Amino acid sequence: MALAVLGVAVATVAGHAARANATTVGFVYLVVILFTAARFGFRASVAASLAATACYNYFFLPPAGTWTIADPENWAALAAFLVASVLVSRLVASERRRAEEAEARRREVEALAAEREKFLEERAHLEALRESDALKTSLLRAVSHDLRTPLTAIRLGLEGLRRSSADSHDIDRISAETERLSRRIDNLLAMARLDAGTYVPRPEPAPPADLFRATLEALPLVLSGRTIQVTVAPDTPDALADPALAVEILANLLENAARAAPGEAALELAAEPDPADRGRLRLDVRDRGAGVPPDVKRAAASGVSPAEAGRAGLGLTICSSLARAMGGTVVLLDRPGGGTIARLDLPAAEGASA
Amino acid sequence: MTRGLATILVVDDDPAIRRGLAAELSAAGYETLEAADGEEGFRLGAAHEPDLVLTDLAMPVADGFELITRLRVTGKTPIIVLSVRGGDADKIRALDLGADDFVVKPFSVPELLARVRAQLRRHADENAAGVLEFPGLMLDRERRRLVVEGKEIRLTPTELAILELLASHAGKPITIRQIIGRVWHGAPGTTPDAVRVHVGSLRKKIEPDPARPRYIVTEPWVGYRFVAEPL
Repeated sequence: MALAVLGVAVATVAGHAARANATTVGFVYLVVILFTAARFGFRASVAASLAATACYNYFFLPPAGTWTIADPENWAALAAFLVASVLVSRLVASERRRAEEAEARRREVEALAAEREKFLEERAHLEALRESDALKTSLLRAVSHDLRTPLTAIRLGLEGLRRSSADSHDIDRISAETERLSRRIDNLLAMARLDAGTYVPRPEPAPPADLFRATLEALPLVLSGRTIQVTVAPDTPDALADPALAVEILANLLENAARAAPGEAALELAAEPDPADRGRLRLDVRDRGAGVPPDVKRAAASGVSPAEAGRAGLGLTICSSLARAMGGTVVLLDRPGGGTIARLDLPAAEGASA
Repeated sequence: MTRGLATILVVDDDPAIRRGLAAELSAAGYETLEAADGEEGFRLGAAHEPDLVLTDLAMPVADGFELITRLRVTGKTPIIVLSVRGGDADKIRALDLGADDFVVKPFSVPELLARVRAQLRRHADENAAGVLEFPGLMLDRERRRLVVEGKEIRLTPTELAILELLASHAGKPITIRQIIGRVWHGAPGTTPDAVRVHVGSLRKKIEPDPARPRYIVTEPWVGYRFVAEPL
């Protein structure tokens, strides 16, 4: 606004000094007003118009130096000047507003383009993730094939040796170790698959007796010579469980039990409904060994992961995360009368037990 | 029974496994043939007419599925598939194509030999009379009588039909889809759960110890198998 008034003043002084005629000064005023409208908007230019009209009258319309106007024709000129300057202000100001709107639109478009760019980038990222998932899947498949093929060949080779060897004791031991190794590989691959999201648990109604049977079949060498008691309480529902994961967990727990309680004492597999929750059941592996290892107990008490409590803890951690993947839990309990109860707690399947 | 003279064709692209299998099978008294892929397997099968085929699934030239398909065009030779753990879709596909059984690598040799014996016996018994006999269990198909451990047991018609289907294919896993097709004749609305319920009640009636099922075992995700002898 001040600049507009200053522009009018400069035009007035310059016109006065140059003794320009009234028409020339009028045009110069119009240019100033135009500029003001373009630059500062409608209000400033209306103010400039009024100031210019006043100056025009006072300094240039005869008699100059007074507010009076002698010639009526000059009244018309002054009025025309005022009207013209306000009109020009209006036109230019609306033009300016339009330019501003266009600018805002341009910015919006730019923002949208940036969004799109970001979206495309995100999509590329997702695609890369998906590709890396596919890579993980095929990698895991290749690893599992490449680990199991030699294991299968080793087992076949051991059977060959057993036939030609008089003393099969060592061969039994090596066979048991390959069995253990292949179970560890199964564990790790199952964990990796769950982790990578390439294995989604598929729970189905699984009778506990079937899970126990498959568990015993998975450990023929570890359990050879051991007595295993299997009991299923009459009102036990079927588990709603991924059978492969459930058997893997039970095999680990049973193997641990066989190791923790060597000798003649029977190991027990027992299924019963959860007395506290009708929608769940318990699959127990019970031994008469030394009870829950103290470091596992300490870890549980202090809230750290049992994995940090040594080997027994690591196995428990693997079992727990496999169980969690299908809504189950694994706990170790001291068994009344000595020994350990390793308990897999699972949701029950709806409907009749089969 | 042709045991001892039976010829088994072993098809696997891994030479160590192929030779190991052949060695174990000949030690158990079988003649063996070896092929490194499905193509060679089919050629040897056509030339020598083995009594049983043991095949891997993933092979470079003509995989196991192709071999099963081509063998089933010409005959009923029992086929046992060597599958990998977790390959349930592959198992079901192989069974639906006509394979008779599968073992999961790494398998134990006694388990494999038991499966081989069961398949050879089942094949020999295929056209046997109406009476199916197993240790402790006798099913007279014509008189619709079932005797377990010397006691006659009454079954519902559905239970009897399921037992008949499973026991007449002893040792062979029968898929849930096959049970629905053969027992319910594919009646719409028959769900896997309905099959499970009937098998459950059948097992309660015939299993001497429900905690240790002896005759009917579950093959997770696949279906059921009637066990001809304890594995």
